[in-house]
Amino acid sequence: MIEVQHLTKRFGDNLAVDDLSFSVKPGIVTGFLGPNGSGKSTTMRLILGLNSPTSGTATINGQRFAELKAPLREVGALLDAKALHPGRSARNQLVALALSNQISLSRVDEVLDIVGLTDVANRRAGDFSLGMSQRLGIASALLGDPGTLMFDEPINGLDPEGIRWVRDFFQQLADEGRTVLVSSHLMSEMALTADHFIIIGRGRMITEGSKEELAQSGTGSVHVRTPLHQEFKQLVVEKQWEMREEADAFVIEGVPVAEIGNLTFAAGIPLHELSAREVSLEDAFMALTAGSVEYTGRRMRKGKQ
Amino acid sequence: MPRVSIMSVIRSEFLKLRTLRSTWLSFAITAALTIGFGALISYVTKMQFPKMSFIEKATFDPIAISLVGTLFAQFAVGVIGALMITSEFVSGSIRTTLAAVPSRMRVLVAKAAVLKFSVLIVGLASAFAAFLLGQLIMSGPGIPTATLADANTLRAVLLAGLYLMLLSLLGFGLGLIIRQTAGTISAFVSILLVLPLITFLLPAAWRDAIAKFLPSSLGRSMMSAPGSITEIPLFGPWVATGVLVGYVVLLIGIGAFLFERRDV
Repeated sequence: MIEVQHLTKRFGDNLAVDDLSFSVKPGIVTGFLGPNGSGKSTTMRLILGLNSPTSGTATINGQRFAELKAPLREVGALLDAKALHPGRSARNQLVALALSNQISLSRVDEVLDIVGLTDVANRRAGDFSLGMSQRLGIASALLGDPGTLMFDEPINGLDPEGIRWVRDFFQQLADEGRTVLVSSHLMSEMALTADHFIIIGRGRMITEGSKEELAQSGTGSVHVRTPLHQEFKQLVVEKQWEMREEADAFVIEGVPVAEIGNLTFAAGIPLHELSAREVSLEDAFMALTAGSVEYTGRRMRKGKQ
Repeated sequence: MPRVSIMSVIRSEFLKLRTLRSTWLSFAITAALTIGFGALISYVTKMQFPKMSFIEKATFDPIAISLVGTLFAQFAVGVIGALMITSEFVSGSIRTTLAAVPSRMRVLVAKAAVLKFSVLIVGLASAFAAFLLGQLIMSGPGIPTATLADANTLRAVLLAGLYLMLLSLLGFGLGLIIRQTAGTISAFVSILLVLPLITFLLPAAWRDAIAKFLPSSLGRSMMSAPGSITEIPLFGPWVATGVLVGYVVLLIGIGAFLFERRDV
């Protein structure tokens, strides 16, 4: 269980984390989402006591991180897969961590086996691909068999097989009753990985909820096809619906499909199609964070100038 | 439940140090510079001895000559000390380290202990080897040599090993403050090479007052025969050791203060 209360971190003029409060519960995978630079990594560093908060608190199982007697046995974290000394072998990176927390060295071989790095354990970590480094980072998080796990962008650099493995693995960790917090800036990825979502932007909480709750927060659209264009358009104007035309169909935003069906029936307008298009989690995420994206790219203009 | 203790962190830091090829390379360079330059200068001195003036012969210090290699090896141990901490800041692995051991002072004490112990062993072994080899090379008709049976000689050789240890800690303290490898090594080299050059541009009275406080001068005091005549006034060996220890305590103290407070 991770609890964050009114957490705030200021770097000079920049509020990286702004009065953030949430709790991460055991037994489910919690996705921590936000655009680049929204404060996800800073929040994780604050939880681990690596950065000190300007105000507010973060606790793990009710204790501040600095108070933990054997931290690796309580919380395992993958913060930055490439943050290791390139000259040391994968195995020795883990042995060094195990020694500091008095974890048996047989556990090192166990976690290497879990993440599938046994064959390359004696290679320099500097020669690892990003995907292999992510696996090594996951191995170090698992080392103390902790009840709380945090992974910062663990999916970056993994191959499709690795992504599927990591997804199932996080689910398995949650099923064992552990608290699992996974950050990402890709909603499409998290939609398949997490059960619960915390979405932040510019350091502030945007929304929090389950998959269903999030999908509802975005508005769906209804596609309508009818031979009676004029009559239908008149109805739309009458009811003040928001409508756009798309190929041979009318698209109506934010009106329940049943209401459209009932009213067109009452008006005697025959329909050739009446279909609700559900909003994807990704659309909902984009809509929610639209106002808080730190860096936006522009579409390239066609042709040469 | 087993937990984090200072001994467990020391074991971890010791493993980290000895599992890097750069550590072994730096220690090999430390020994090679101390012994190699000691032997070379001893040989050159022996060849020149017959042509030396009366004054040069009277102030001849076979101990300092055989230990002169430490003045080159000091750069190697400074780099070892600096890398001990800057490599973690540069790679970002300091976060992994502190996510396993939240007490920063424990990490700092463990790192310093491992560094001290390792450099002292290599430093002492190199200093003894350089001394014995140097005396062997210089021994010949009419040339005075020293033996370890003499308390002052033994003191000079032991302090040569200690000097290397203290300089590695100086590099470590600078690394804690600067947190960046290139900057730390530049600062270290500036203190040892550039500061002496600047003091020699000063008026003689100022120079004589200041030069003895330079780490390189303190090293000479620690490794010379007592009462040897030098071109600038120097501290005695024990006062010099005390001043150098003071620098180390001051730098690591500032570094520890910053390390405890700064975000990583």
